[in-house]
Amino acid sequence: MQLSERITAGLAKTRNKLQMLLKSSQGGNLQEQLEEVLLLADVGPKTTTEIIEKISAAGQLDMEMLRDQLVATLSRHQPPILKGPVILVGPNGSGKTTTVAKLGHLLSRQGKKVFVIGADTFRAAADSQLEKWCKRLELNHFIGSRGADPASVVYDGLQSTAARQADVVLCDTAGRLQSNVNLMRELEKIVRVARKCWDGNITVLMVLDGGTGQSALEQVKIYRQFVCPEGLIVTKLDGTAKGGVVVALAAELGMPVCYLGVGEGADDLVPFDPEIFVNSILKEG
Amino acid sequence: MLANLSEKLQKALGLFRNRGRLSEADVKKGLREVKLALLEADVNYLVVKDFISRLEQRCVGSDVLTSLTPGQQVIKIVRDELTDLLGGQWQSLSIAERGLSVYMMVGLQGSGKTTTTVKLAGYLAGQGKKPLVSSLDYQRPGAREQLAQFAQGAGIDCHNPEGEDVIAGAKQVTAAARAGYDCLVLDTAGRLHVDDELMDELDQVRQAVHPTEAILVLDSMTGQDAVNVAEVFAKRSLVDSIILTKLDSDTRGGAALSVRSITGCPVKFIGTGEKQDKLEKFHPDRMASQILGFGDVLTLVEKAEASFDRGQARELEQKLRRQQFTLEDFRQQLRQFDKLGSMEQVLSMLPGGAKLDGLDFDQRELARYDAIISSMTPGERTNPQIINGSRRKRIAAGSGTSLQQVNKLLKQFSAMQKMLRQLDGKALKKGKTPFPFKI
Repeated sequence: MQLSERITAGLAKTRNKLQMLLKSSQGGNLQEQLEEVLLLADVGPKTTTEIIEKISAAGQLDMEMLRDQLVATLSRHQPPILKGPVILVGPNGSGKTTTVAKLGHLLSRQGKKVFVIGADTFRAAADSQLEKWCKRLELNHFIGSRGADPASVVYDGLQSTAARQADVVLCDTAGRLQSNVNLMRELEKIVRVARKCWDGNITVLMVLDGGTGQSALEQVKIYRQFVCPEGLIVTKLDGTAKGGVVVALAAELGMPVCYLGVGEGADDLVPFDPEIFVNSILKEG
Repeated sequence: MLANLSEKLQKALGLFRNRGRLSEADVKKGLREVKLALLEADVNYLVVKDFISRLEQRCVGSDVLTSLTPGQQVIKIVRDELTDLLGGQWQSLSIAERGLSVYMMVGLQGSGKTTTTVKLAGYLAGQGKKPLVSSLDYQRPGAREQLAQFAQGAGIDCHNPEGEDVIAGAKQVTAAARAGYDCLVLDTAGRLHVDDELMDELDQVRQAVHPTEAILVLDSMTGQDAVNVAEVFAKRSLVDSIILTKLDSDTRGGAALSVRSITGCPVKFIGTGEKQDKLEKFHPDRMASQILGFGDVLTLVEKAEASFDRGQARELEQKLRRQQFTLEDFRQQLRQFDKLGSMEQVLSMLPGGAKLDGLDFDQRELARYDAIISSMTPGERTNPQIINGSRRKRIAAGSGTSLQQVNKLLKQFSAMQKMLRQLDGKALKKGKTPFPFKI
């Protein structure tokens, strides 16, 4: 009940927005306008063309159809349920450390026992950044010191009683660009070691800066080759970035989104809702 | 770097290259591909739209399509416009005329400000300056330690102000820097451009320290939003120049193409790695040729334009049509080709030319052919059939070559003439020529 109400409310809001949008665009080709909305949201030319073609083939080309198509694309794959070790990976500066803290906070508010492992042993002061967060949010943690081998930090962390007793173990890793093969191998090793020393499932989530453009496709493709992330956390969506590239990621790579980061505060992480997300993509400005 | 964009653009431009004639429709089709390539590379949609319409105007409007090499002309226009879009020449970092130069780094969270702060200080130190770095980032836990640790590793002095007040801290550290340094690189907290409160704070810092340059640090992987970010920072006069980071990923780099044209502020450096020395100057002109995949092919195009006389080329075309192509014309062609420079040079200017290293081309072959033809009488050149055994001997002796070489040339020439006879006018119109190279 609650869900359907929310969706109806969301729809009404979108309709208003769409009408506004359609009114504001004087003349011109509707298809071009729809394309423009998608392209400006970072959906990318390939997926944009596909989506527009799909809805124009299915019948009338309008905003409503576009909206439904986007929601359908984003709902196709279910995000994983977080249980046991969850390793967060991603490029530099995408917001992994902050996300670990926020996710830990969110899960512990849901009544889950959370344990945090800090395996970013490369970046200067990454350990103290995570430690400060954990202390502030009262999260149990084990943080490797700078220069240590990250795989061994994860191993030690997972061996601890605290990790064994936790419902979810969140692992922070150092940011790395997908083009650096050696660092990607290091990440592969971290995940391999974690899989070996933990009986049960290990989830890898990729943290993506919401402002990222089409580079995200290449990023996810290569990360998939090494550590096979099962879902995305898209951060920094409190600015003007739309994060539309996740539509391309869902359409081309079948990658689901789990959470959205919408601010720097501890509570600024929300579960992904395709409806709301699509509304924000189609929203002007 | 930017390989992806480069590859896609070259593919799009391939539609123009090797084309003898271009119709308006051809141009439109090709430019659509260019547009898609740019969009794939995250160049802002509005910038792309503008860019393409400018290209279209220049390509269709002028006498490009009726020129001898319309394809090359179009490519040249794309290069010009691209260089223009990226900002022309490299612009160096401004330095205060006297006293302390202050550089203030601003940008979103995670764009790489802290890392870049130390890299820039390292660059300044390399220029013989004495830089100090300092962090005004009270927001992110551990940010100040990060700067201090990174600076220490790079051998740069770091002085983080006491207290919790950003403005007071900025004043304090500027005063401290005056005492023994000539440059100060200030790191600030990452903030969203829509966070008015934090943006106001930056304004205040700017007014407190009067930076020589406020530098926007921008993640090159940013998509369409890059221009929004840059625009807001620029409106608040917080951008004098731009540094793009993380260009070592196979980033599409579209941000680089968009921000400069939206803000008018030059991109001065690019970050190409996590290590301290990975900061490079950004040369827009070189970047443009690099993106188009022909480091120097355009130099080659210019050279070709300079060395190939249009009138002569037209005359030659007529001769080819009337099948009056003689050894004399062949020699002229050889000479024009030679003017371009050595084959090695030409190859090195070609995209992927380096890969052709193993290609066995003897530069002396051209000179030899020239010598052989020059040793013939005018009669022999126009009518090679009269060249009998004794004439061959004479030509070989006169040109310092062997009988075999003279035979080889005559054989090749007769094969060429045969080919010419087989070609009808249509094929010639399409720009097909029997030469191993284009005319």
